[in-house]
Amino acid sequence: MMLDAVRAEWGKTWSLRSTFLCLAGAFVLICATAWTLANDFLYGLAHGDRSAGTTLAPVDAVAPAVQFGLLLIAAFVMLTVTSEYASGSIRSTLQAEPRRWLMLAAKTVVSASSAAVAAFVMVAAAGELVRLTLGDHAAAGASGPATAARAALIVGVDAVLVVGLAAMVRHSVGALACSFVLFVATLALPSGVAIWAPAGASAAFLTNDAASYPAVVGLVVTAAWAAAIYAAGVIVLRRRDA
Amino acid sequence: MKTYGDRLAVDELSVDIRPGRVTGFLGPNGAGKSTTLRLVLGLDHPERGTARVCGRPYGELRDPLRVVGAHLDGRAVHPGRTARAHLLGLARYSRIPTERVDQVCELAGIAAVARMRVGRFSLGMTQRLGVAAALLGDPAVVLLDEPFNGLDADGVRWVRALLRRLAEEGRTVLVSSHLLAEMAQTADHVVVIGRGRLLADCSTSELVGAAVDAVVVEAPEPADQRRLRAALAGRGIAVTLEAGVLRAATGDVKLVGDCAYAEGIRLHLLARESRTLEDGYLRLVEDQVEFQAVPA
Repeated sequence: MMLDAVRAEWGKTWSLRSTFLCLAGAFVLICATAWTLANDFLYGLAHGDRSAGTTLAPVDAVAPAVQFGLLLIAAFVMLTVTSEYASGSIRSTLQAEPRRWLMLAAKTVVSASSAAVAAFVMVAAAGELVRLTLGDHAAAGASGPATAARAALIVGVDAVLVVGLAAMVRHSVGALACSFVLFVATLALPSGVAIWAPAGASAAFLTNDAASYPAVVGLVVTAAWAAAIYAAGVIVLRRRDA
Repeated sequence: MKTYGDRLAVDELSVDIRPGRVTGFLGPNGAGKSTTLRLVLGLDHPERGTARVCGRPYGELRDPLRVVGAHLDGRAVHPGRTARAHLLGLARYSRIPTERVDQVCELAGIAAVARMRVGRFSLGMTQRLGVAAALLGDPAVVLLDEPFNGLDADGVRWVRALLRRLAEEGRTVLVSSHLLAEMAQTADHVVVIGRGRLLADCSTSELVGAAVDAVVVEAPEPADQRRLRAALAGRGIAVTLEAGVLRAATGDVKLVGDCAYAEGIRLHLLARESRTLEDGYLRLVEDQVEFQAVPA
């Protein structure tokens, strides 16, 4: 039954243009931002703002770019739920699968796995682009595939959070605004607080930054947020009229 | 029971819809028709009571599309998806083979546009797609909410024939509509609700029969009007007199004419008003209309 639901949701997700638009947009945004940051670094070197011989770790250009692009990936994930309410197709879907938790679980599997694979590809490509741009000024450190794998994992978890959020809010604009608060705005909090919010925790895991806590704690914190919001989403989905 | 805020939508509605016939589901706007269907399909939750299909709540049906096919009023399709992708998504949930998707597209007359995005569909084509989705699982129970809306003459004929055929095949067919003339032709049985309550559950002909025939009489002299009224009342026929027009509650034109002749009354009009489903229905819902215009 789960497999049938996943098959159904997979076909539904990839039969929409918005899916391709969001993911293509995220790809361009992440690569362009990472490349710009690498270029900024080189510009600083050339103009003596930075002492000669300084290097930049590619992940330091890629991670901020991911934070940006995450919003477009979140939009893709969110649309798998909110577009059903906007178009009224949720009524068709729930007629076909009245077990709402199962319907949402299928959406989660499809969108989280798609988002994870997309994040892997995007981060791998952006990392390679940054490495090529920096040339000799790239610092040795985390390999491209390792960073991409971390990105895939954390974006997959973030996707679960977004599905729960969308099930609760139902409206695209509202869900995206909430995503913005959780994934961007919380970065403005004092860093001691920000690291416990999804944005800071995700960034800590992605950059393998152990300054505040072991990087893996960032993954755990994000997963805890995702679990709580997803559970709330399921409760709302089951209780409220479709 | 179902309420929206402090407004009661559906209350104590208990009906049993039988297979093998087309049951019309009638009621004025806001009577609770759509809410009832949404409750049956498990989309809305009742505050009290249960809705069961084939003895079980909708949510407990295995592959529900194979048991109940429903088309609700309004769009229930993502405009960015093609008709085929929409149907395919539903089919996969209930493990319905892909060939069946193409079959129902043929059946609904949308095979030629099946690979077009639904956002470009006309209202009539969207209705046909909705009916196609309802028939996807070859269900024994078919619920259609306002299926005639937006259809051209050809489409109306198609739905009418389809409903008849589905009933003849022994399926349970429930059709809500506000088009009474249409329902009089199509439905064998009617369920009428108003303000969320059951008003009638009878055969279509019985509801038509509930409307009283009338004979309309116009006599130019006011004195004659009063005399004729008294004469008819003497024969046990109720008569109303309004703006010089007498309306006798009987279908017998001859009786009224002979009565006037016997009294030596000059008439300008003697006509029979025949009853329709609309009359029977209106009589029933007159006091139940929720959003009635208040005369200025």
